[in-house]
Amino acid sequence: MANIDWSDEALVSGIRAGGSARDEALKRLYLMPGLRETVIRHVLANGGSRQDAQDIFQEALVILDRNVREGRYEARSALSTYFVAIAKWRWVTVRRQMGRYTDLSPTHYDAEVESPETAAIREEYRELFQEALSQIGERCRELLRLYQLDHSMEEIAQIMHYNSADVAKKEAYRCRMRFRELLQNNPTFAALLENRR
Amino acid sequence: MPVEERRAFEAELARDPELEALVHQHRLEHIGLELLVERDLRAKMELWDRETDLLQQLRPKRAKTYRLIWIARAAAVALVLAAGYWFIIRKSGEAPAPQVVQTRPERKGQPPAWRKPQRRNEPTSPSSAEVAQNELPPAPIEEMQPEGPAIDYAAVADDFFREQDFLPPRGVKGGSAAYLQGLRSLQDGRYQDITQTIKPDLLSSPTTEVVQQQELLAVAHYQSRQYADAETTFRYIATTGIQPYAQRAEWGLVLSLLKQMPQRRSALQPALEAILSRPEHPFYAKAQQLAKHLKVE
Repeated sequence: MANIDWSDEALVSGIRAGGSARDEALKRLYLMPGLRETVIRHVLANGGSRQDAQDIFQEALVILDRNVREGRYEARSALSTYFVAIAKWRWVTVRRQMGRYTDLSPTHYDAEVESPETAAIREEYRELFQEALSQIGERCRELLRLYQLDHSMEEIAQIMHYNSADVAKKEAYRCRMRFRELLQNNPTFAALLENRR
Repeated sequence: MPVEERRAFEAELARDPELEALVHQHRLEHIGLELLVERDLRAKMELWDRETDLLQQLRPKRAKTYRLIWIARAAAVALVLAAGYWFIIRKSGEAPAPQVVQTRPERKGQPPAWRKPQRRNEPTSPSSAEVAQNELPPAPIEEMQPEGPAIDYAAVADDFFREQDFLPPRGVKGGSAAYLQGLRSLQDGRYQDITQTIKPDLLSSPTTEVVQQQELLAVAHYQSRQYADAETTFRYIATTGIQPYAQRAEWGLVLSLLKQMPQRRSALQPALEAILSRPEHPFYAKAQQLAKHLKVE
C-alpha cells in the first residue's frame, strides 16, 4: 500500500473496491495535507467554530464515500475539489438548519450530493433508523454493513467466520428481515411508507 | 442504470403502485443501513485522529533526540581533534622521554589462600521437591473454555451486546442538556464527541447526573473498541449502587471483559458471578445464557 501512487483514480478505485483498499483510500483522503485546513478556513470565515469545522470535515468524508460508492462522483473535478465542495454545501445546509440564513444556497455548490428528499429522510428519521439498528445485535450490524458495502457472500463468510457463502446469505437475509420488521413495527416508519402512496 | 432503462423503470413504477411501494421501502431501508457504514467510518476517523495525535506527540521528542545525538557526535569529533592537536604539539616541542629501566619485580608475600568456610550443622533448606510436596497446590483456575473448538469471545460479546440495553426507554426525557446531547451523539455514532467532552469522573459520592454521563462514556468507549477504558468506567458505575445504571454497568463490565479475553479471564468469572448470584438482576437471564455459552459452572 505504501508504494501506491494515490491519484484521484486510485482513491476512487480504492473506495469502490471496498475492504482494506477502501479504508486505506479514505484514510489518505482524510489525512491529505491542506484539505482539512481548507475546510476549517471556509467554515471559520462563514460563521462557524473550529468544532463546527471538524464536524463538517468528517461529514464531508462520509458523504464523499457514499457518493463515490453510489456512482454520483463523475470525476468532472479533482477529488479534493469535490470534497471541499461537499463540505461547503454541507456547511450551508447546517447553517440553514440552525436558522442562520445566508445568501448562498446549497445549489451554489456543484457537488452532486443527493436528492433533497433523501437527505431530508436521512436526517429526520435518523433516530428511528438508529433505534432499529440498535436492536438487531452487533453481529447483524456488522454483517449488514459489509452487505451494504457490496461485499460478496464469500467475502462476508470469510470475514464473519461463517462456514460457507450459503450460510452468510441466510444470515444476511435473516438480519435484513429483522431490520425490516423492526422498521415496519414502528408507527412512524409505517406513516413514512404510507405518505409515499 | 442507463438513462433509457431508468426512464422505463420509472414508467413501470408509475403504472404499478405495489412495485412502487416495494421500491420505496427498499430505498428507505438502504438509507437506514447506510448509517452502519457511516458509524464505522466515524469510528475509523477517530482512530486516525488518535494515531496522528500520537505521532505529533512523539515527533518533538524525536527531534530533540536527534539534536542531542548530533551534538554528541560533534563534541566527540572536537575532542578527538583537540587530543590529536595536543599530541602533535607535545611531540614536536618536548624533550625526549626518559628511558624505561627494567627492574626485577619484587616478590610480594603470597596472599592467604581462600578457604571455604566450614559448614556448620545447620538445617538444610528443603529441596524443591519437598516444597512442592508440602505446599498446597494452587486452586485450579476454572476452565471456562470447553473442550472442543476454541470460543471466539469477541463474537460472543457481539451477540450479547445491545446498545439499547444502556439507553433510556423511548419517550423518557429526563436528564440534563449535556446528557441529552451526549445521548444524541451516541445514537449518531459520534463517539469521539462523547469521549472528548465527558471525562472519567470517579467521585466517591456521585450524583445520578454524573453516573448517567459516565454510562454514556462507558458505552462510547465500548463502541470505539476501547474495552479497557469501558471496563474501568463500567466498574466504577457498578460500585456507585445508583440504579438502574449500576446493574446495567455490571452487565457492561461482563461484556467489556469478554472482549478482552483471554487476558481478563480471572476478572470475567467474578463479574459474571455477581449477576448470576442474584436471580432478580435484570440481566440474570442474559448472564445465564452467556454462562451456558461459555460452559461455566
